[in-house]
Amino acid sequence: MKGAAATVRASYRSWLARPRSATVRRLRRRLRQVRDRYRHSLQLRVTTATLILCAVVVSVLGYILMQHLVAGIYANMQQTAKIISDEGLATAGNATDFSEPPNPTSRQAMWHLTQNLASTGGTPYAVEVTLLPQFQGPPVYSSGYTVGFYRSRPQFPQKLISDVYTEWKGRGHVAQRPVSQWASMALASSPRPVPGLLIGAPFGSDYELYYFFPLAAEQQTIASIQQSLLVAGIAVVFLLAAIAWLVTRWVVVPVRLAAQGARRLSAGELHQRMEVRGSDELAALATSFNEMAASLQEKLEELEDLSQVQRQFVSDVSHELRTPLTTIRIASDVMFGARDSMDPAAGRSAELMQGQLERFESLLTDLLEISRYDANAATLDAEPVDVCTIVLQSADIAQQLAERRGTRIEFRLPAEPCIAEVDRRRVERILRNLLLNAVEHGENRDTVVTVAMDSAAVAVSVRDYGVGLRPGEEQLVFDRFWRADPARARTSGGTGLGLAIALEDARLHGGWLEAWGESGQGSVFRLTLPRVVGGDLHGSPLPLRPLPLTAVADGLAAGDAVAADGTAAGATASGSAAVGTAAVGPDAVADTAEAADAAEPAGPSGQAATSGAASRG
Amino acid sequence: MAEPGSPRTTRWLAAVAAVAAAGVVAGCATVPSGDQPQQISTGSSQIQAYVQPLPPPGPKQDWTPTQVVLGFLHASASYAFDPAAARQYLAPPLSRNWNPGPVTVVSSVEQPTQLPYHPQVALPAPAGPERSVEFTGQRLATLSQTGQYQYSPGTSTYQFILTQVQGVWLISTLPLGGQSLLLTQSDFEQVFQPRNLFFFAPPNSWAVNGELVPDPVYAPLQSADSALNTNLAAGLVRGLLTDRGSWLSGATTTAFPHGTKLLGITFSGQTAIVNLGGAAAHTSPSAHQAMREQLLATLGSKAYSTPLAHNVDLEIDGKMQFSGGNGLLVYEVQSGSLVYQAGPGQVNQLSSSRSLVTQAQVGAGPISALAATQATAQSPSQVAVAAENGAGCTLYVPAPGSSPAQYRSYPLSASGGPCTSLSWDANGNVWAVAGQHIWVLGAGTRQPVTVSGPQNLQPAGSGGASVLALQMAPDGVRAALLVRTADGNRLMLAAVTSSHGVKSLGTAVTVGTSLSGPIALSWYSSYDLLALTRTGIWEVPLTGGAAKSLGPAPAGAVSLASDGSSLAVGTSHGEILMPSDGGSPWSKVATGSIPAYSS
Repeated sequence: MKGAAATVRASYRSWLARPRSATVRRLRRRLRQVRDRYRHSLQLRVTTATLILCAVVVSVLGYILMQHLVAGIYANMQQTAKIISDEGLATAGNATDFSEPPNPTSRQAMWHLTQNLASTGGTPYAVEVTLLPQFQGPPVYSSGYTVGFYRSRPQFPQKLISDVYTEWKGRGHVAQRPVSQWASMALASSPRPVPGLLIGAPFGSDYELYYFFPLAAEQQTIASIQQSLLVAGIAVVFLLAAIAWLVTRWVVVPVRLAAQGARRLSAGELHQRMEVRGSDELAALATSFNEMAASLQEKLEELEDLSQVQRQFVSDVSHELRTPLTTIRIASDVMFGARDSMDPAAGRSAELMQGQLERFESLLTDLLEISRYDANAATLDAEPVDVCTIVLQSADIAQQLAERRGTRIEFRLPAEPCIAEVDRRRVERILRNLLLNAVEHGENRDTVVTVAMDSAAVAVSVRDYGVGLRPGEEQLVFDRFWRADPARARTSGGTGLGLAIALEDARLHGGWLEAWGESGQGSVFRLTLPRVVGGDLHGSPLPLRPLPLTAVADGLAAGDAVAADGTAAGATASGSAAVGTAAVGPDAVADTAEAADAAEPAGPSGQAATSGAASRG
Repeated sequence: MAEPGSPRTTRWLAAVAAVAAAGVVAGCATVPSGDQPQQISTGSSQIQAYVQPLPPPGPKQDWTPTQVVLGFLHASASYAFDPAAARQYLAPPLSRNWNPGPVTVVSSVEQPTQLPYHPQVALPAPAGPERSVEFTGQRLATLSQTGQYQYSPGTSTYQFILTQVQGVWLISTLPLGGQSLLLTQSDFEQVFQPRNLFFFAPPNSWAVNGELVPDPVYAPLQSADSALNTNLAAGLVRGLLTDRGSWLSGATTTAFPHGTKLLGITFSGQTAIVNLGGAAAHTSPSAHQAMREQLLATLGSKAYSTPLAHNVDLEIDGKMQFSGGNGLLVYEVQSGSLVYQAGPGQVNQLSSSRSLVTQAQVGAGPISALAATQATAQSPSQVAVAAENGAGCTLYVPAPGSSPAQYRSYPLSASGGPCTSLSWDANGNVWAVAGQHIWVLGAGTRQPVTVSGPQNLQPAGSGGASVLALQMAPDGVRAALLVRTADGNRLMLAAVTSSHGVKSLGTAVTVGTSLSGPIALSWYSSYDLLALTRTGIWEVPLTGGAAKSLGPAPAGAVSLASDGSSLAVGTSHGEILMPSDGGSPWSKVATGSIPAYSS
């Protein structure tokens, strides 16, 4: 049994897997479309269910009705046949020619009787008058006569003949009764046998009379009724289905309108409202929807106003603070320049003040910058530049920091220039921020900067092997003033707005800034920009999430243990991705990187956070 | 789409509900409960079926040779339906080779005589005993293969030779060489049906609105495969297409050219669809129309039997040519007024209400025969009179169109004997029988001329037959004759042929063979004669079948006249009698003799 089932399954699978003709493929495509539409349409499901149920009910009712009608028609026909045959039997029984044993005149008498009993056209039937077989020789020499049958040798069922004979044998003792049987006989008007009712009875001394009543007219009536019932039934079923479609539509349309309104509402069209008609449940749904939309609109407008006020406050404060800050900075510079002449405590204070002033200035600059973004006042000054050049130029401060820490920054740049239309200043700012973060959080391990390009986009990824990011921090890392570990010393200085500003800079280009990280495995920050302003990004030339790599491909830091991803910090790059080596295009990237990330769709995936040009509320 | 609850939706729903309610109410009111009387179309659409004999039993071991012969005679009646039924009575060599031709009809089969058989000629010794069964029967007629019933009276002895085969007596030799199918009269009437074939009467023929003349035939009710009229109809159509050499041949014409073939015939309700081919495909549309008229008259004739069809669609090689039904162009006996001799030379005319209309004095001598024409819009009724002139008779015929009638006299050749009958045909010819000769005064001619024939009647005076009376059918083609023969008076039919203006009568056929001694005749319809015998008045079909008694004749009846609906009898007492509805079967309508109806 199991073997047989396995064989059947295997056969089914092989049948499914075999190549299909175009017609079959088209058919399957259509079926899939229908199935999908069925799943997504309540109206279609209700109508289909109504159609099926109505068809079943109408079929059952139709069958019952037909059975009753057929029984009635046949009963009617049997009654007519009985009347005619009884009349014929009475005529035959009353004729004196047949009361005596057969004689030479019986022949003519049978002929006349047959002619008299023949159908005159009202109800069609055939008649046979016959002598019992034992009397068919001398002196009569005749078997009998027929009228209405196709041939002069109608073959009656043997059962009927024997029953009539049995009735004949009982003559004189019991009343001779007609015997009837359903049979098919060929008539003069119909060479092919037609079904009908045979009635036979003995009469006179030694004679038999047979009638055959065809069911042609009844069959025609029944066929006509069947046809009418079928047409009516089909019409009823489809009409009911149409009504169900109509009625369902009355309910589904408002729901559909509500769904459309909700989608528009979520897309930002806060003025979207539903039309309220009547006072039923659908009207209540529309009213509730409108109240919800009004409330949302009001709240969002409030929040927008508050946000606007907040942004304006930040902008105003930043501007207002700059003036006294400039004065303080000048004074501080003076004091910093004369710190050697001050007592150690004052000199130290002057140094601290100078440092904090620089930091404060930087914070203000960042706040101003971020406020420009909030006010949608930022502009893009794009020009075709070689991104590799920008990468190298952005790395100066980070490289100094790396040298101090005893690490290095490895550049994996394509041999050809990566020309793209970008705002040099903004891209430099992004990369500088990424590099500084990578060195600072790199745990004294090397940082790898990779640049790649394809026909539509250019990407720069900064990989460090430091503390990494915990789950969920890939999204938070771009929030303003967020710090991975607030307790960590900030040796490189930072306002907490760097990545937020970098994100806005990337978005201004229509690009993405994404992060990936794992605790202890380091992190990757990938900047993807379109090569032309306004171009759409559908993917990135570089993967975001690294796969476990060989130590050679990633470059191992001397003396470091191999990390879980197969890399080690500080390794001298000996792979194919050293500075200046070619790694152009996604194919080259696939050689060194990770298939899973290459298949990453345009957008957030897994632990990676994509900060592309997604709409915000 | 309107939303639920909207005013538009509400109006739609209200309208739909109103329509549905109206439909329910209307559906309940479909049973008719009252109406005006309406004409109901009569006529059955059922195809006519006829009585067929069941296969008769075959001979058995306990049957005597006489019983075998009687069984064979009765089985022969089923030959058309079941040829094997009669063959089972024949010994093997004969049963394989037997193919009977014309039918011989005998009136009855007297008790056969069974005798040992002693062949006159030395033959190879038979394998077993042989018996000879003889019976004598009154031969009535033979039916030709073309369906014509030919009277051939006489008494014949029919001898059957039987031999035993496996204990059963079987017939090894048949009478008449086995070439004829021997049937009793009752059996014959069961398996053959009288019908008419229709042909066109000259001088117009079919080309110019010709009219049709019936030729009676007997058609077998075939066959074993179907009890329907399809084969019967096919047989009749083939009869129209075949030159049968009947008694009407030469006197009539046909629209079917020689070489016409019947491709098929089917029935659709009351319509027969006849498909012809062969030479018929090369004739004119007017010929096709004439063919359809002949077919319609033949298949739609109500004379003797139920018509096979009410309409005929003619196809030539499968293409419809003509369809629908038209009036049959058949000459019929017309109702007319009664004329009679009221006194020597005086002719009275009665109207249909039996009131005197006209009186005329024609000639001086006693009138021996009268004939009258129908009144038309162009001319009044004309009466022709034959009066005795001592040496023979003189024919008095009014000049055409003269009013009052201006009579001209035409003495007929003095050959002895008065004129015994006068008849006027539709062509305006006056026919007279005088001195055992037949005379005709053609319309527009100056002198009556004798008419030769019938060809098969030996001339009088040599022991042959002599014509006592002649009545022309309205078509001017068929003549009914009262002929005296050595065996007594006989009714006969003959056709008038014309060659180079000379008229003659063709072969005569006997009708009403069951009558004994008719003394007067008259046309009753286009298909029947009326005959007066000593015992009664008879309706005689032209098919040759048995005459039907219409009742006893009044005492002293010597002459007879009819217009198809009325009947007048002249007696030897000088009375004109007609049937009455009162207590007495006959009532006197006038004093006179020689009644005649205008035709």
